[in-house]
Amino acid sequence: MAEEKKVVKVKTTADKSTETSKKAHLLVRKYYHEAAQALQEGRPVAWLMASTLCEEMCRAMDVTPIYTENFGGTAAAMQGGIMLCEACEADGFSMGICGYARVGLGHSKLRQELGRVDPSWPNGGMADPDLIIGCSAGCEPRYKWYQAQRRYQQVPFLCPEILDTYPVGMDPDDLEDYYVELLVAEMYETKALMEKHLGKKMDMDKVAEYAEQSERTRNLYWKCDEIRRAVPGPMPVEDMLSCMPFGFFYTAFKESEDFFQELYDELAARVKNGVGVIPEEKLRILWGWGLPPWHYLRIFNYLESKGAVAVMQECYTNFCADDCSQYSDPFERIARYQIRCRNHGHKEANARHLGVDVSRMISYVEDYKCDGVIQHALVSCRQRTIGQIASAEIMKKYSTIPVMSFQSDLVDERTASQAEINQRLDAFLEVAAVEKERRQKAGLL
Amino acid sequence: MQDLKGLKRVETMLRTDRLARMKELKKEGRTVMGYMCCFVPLEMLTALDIAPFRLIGDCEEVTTEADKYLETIMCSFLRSAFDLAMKKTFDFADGVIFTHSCDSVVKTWEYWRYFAPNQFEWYINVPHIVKASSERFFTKELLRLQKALEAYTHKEMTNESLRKAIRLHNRNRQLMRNLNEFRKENPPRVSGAEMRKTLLACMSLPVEEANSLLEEVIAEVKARVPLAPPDRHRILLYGPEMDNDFVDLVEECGASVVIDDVCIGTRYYAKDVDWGIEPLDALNRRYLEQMVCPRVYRRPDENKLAPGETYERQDDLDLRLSYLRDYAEDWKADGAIMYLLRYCDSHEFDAPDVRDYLQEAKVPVLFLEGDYMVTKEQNKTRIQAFLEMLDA
Repeated sequence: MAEEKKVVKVKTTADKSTETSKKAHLLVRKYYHEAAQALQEGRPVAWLMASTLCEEMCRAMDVTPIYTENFGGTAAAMQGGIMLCEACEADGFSMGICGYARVGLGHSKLRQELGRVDPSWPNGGMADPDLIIGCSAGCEPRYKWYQAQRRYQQVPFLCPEILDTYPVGMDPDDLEDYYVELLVAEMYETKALMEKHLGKKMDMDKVAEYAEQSERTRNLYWKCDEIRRAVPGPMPVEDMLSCMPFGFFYTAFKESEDFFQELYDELAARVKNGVGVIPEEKLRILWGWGLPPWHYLRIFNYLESKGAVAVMQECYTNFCADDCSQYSDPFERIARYQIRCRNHGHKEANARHLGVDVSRMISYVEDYKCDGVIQHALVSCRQRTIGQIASAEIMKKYSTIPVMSFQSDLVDERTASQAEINQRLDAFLEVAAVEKERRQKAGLL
Repeated sequence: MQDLKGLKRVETMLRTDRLARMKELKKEGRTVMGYMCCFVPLEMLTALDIAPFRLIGDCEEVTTEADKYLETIMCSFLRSAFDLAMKKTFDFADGVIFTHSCDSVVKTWEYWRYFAPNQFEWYINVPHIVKASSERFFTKELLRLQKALEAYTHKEMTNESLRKAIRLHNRNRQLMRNLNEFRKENPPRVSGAEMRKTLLACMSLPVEEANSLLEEVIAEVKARVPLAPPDRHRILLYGPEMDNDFVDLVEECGASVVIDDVCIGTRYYAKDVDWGIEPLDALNRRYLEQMVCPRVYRRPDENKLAPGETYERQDDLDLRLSYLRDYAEDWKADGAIMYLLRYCDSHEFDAPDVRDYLQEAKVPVLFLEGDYMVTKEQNKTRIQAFLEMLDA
């Protein structure tokens, strides 16, 4: 009998540098298992998008959250994304729509066909939800995905209108109050609907406690990014991407605050002792626009093998260290904090006649002493891709460092070859090194 | 060109310079502004004597300048429009107004205003969800637009001027609907290509002139003998920004496009602004609640549901898509063609639902994905095969 051919999986995840970040995936896995356990025990589970402003409400109602965008990234990192994408595409969805959405829709389609979640799926798959909560913040897939989800799943779908980003060029002083008013109204509507569907009242004191908790977590998350300005860089982007779920999704967990405190302490010690990611940091890279290629996180180790460290990223950042405790209504507190974080740097961007993302990149290059910018054009994401070429053009006015873009996807490894990406990186790093040398000779560094 | 009448004028406008009249008006001292997408309340511009024109691309012009700034993995219609902006096509205008229509428009706006700036630049943050709090937010956005336009023009927008403008634009939409009625006939007395061109011409004229042009076109169409033999297949066309020549291609293949659900089509003229309520409230309703576009999320009333219940999937689909079934019935379409622009996320997310919904209504569907610049031969083969399938 012929021997069964073994499929050897090539490692695509990144080796981490910091000790704290090495524990991150275990904590994320634990949250998925907790959701599965909640389902078994009859406790409510909700599927959520980022920016729904529901994290605190879920915690207050003992609802176990599953962040479905996070699942998309995790599935890709665990090399389980394509099977789910293909299931979605077989139903007529385009390969161009958000990779996270394709993973989620594929998951639900297969769940419907099998009658159960297959435990061999990444992180054991997502437990069935009692509620799904999308929103209109950030990008269209945050509500279109869950709307399409109804092909496979009939559970209450809550969809708050979260407009939390100021339009380019508008004066933020004219906008904050009525943007906050919208968000607060939406949170009250979500509260009423959650109470109705879950059959119990929401304890607003608990919401207030969790709002405070979230702020503490997010402020620490921000502090960790701030300390990364040090030379040599104490923490690379791949490490922060592992830690991101606690500062971006699971913010109302005390565990998340503790996690970032531990991370901050580790980074502070590294900075104090001059410990970098690699022995000799030749080039400092800003991971510019575009989300990471979750299917190829080893790209960061590849950079390191060439003496370059991705010291900071433009995505998944938090900015605000503002104290919003003066707002007695916890929903207003959450809304103000969110609005101020999302629009941090808006005035500076207006002064430059730019959008806030490009403007932030210009600031990051200076603040983090970067020698080059790498941008990732995502085939399945308009929001984080359109304008990468333009922003490279704009940045020429502010800096002489090179900017490169490569195309693949956040989830879909079929869109690119690692060898080709590496080849492009090699050429880019050569240019960045030459430019750095020129600046050094010119006394600009 | 104003000596020409009806469809001749339409043809000439589109063949020469669609915006020639706008440029004349600008020279005469009138304020002219370009607008992107269906969500800009044109009535507010007309109320201040601003002449609005639709920003579109040019499917016959190869994009060159846009390649320097915008990715290819985005809406090709917007890339084409941006390309024209970079080639100074819209430079004569006093201003441009964009809206939060979709992710591609939001991002394009950011670079449009940087690389192709205008004197007046405005962006309306249109909510996505039909509900009371979104409507309140949208009212504030409309008030901000009003203030900004008044400041720019040094004129006051009164209720009276706004009502007058609403009346003119309602008349415009009514005339378009009247013209569209001729497509119910078998054979249709006006073709899909003629409808598209007439609408494009109207979008390039001040509303009073567009209404006069439409009256001429309607009189001309009314007087003509039917255009095509009665045995042609009758097609419902579904898609996003379709000012390109895709309609013409379908008709060249031997079918008649008798009804559409596209941005440069019925989405523009299907609904009027209500007359009996405050003008701003009426605009709010028209441009959010009544707008048919996949980027607008509407659902059955959650508050009417029992705890733990959700609305039936069929109710959701009917609420979102029943108008398509009605279009197919009323215009007696025997097939539908969905032509989606690649990377148009909101349409792409809806596509399987739209396809299934039409098929369940016994309307066969051809689903094509392509670019603003239509690849003719490849699509022709598929359209012809689809029409042959309808024959069988």
